Amino acid sequence: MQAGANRVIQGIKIEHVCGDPSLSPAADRALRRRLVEQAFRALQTGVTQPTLFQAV
Amino acid sequence: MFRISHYVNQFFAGIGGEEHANHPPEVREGPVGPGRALQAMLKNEGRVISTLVCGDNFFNERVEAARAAVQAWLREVRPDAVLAGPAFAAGRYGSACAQVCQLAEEAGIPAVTGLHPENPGVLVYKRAYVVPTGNSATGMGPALQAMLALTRKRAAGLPLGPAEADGYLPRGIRRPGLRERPGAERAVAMLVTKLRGGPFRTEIPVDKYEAVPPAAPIGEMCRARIAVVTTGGIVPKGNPDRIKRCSETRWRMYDLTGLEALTPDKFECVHGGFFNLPACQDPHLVLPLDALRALEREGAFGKLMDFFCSTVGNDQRLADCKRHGAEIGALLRSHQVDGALLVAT
Repeated sequence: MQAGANRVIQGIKIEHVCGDPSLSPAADRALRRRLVEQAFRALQTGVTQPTLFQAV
Repeated sequence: MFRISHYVNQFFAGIGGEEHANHPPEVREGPVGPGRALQAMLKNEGRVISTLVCGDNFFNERVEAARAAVQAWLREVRPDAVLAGPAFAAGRYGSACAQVCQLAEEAGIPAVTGLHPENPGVLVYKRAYVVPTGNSATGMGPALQAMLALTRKRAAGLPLGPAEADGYLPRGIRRPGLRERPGAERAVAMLVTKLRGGPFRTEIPVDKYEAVPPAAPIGEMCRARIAVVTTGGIVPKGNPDRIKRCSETRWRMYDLTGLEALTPDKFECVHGGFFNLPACQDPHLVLPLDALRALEREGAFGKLMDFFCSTVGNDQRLADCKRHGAEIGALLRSHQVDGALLVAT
């Protein structure tokens, strides 16, 4: 956000932004899918400044 | 009498628009397009003796061939000065103009171009003499006048004043000099002015993040063309381009055609700024291809581009980040991408 990115989805952790390897493979994939869907929601949302879309 | 060479793209040469952006480098005698206005401004002071025309896509996609053509042209013509553009806000054209200037300076020929201050071409060659312009060709006349004024001084070997005084964009060069008051006094005076809410001018502008106006939201997601980009350093296994773990200055495109998943035998994570073993074991943790393909199949969006762009963001210089963003943005635009997912770590 400080760097000026306008649509930011909060990822899980630095080492695994788009998932969680401590979960079962199915749960990890489901988490990843929800994150990407959240990203798509952000792409369809009008924003006027850097905006954080919470982790799902 | 002053002999000037001029570089223009396919559009300003009157060849055509985007459909001719692959036009190969072509030397033409005398002025072409805006070069004619330049000639009129020169009157008897000089001649636009030669023009190099090149398509914007050719220059950016076949860089080696384009640069070689520029060098051959300069050797052949031996002008007193080179003018490139002006390119205003056109990014590919601006990048080409900056490189023309660089090659001219390397050949010992003074060169000047005209670019909007936010043209990504400004970042391509920091030492270029760039006259700031507006963002459209309606400003052609004043831009050419300003470029010519700067060119006259340079070609005459006259020493140039600071960027602001002589009408060019800062080139990142500082010259030692003396001011009337010592630094401590100037600092205190500036602080007092600032505390009083008065106007003040910093002596050292600090490179900072800029606010970029947000792009408009995507209207029809089901038809949207989506690209995925990462600074998380996902690369083909074996890292064929030797992407560095730290302080990388390049980005690369990798093929996703026909790939439903990123497997650890074919891809790895080379980012040196975090513990990257999980991402090496499952690259989806940084580049969510499996989720994207599933959503694509279900029609949640139109199409996933069959490539991704990758670099390592670890300790990447801000100037390189900006340039990479501009270059990747230009690439995505040329593929009519509607939205991009950037996964950063």
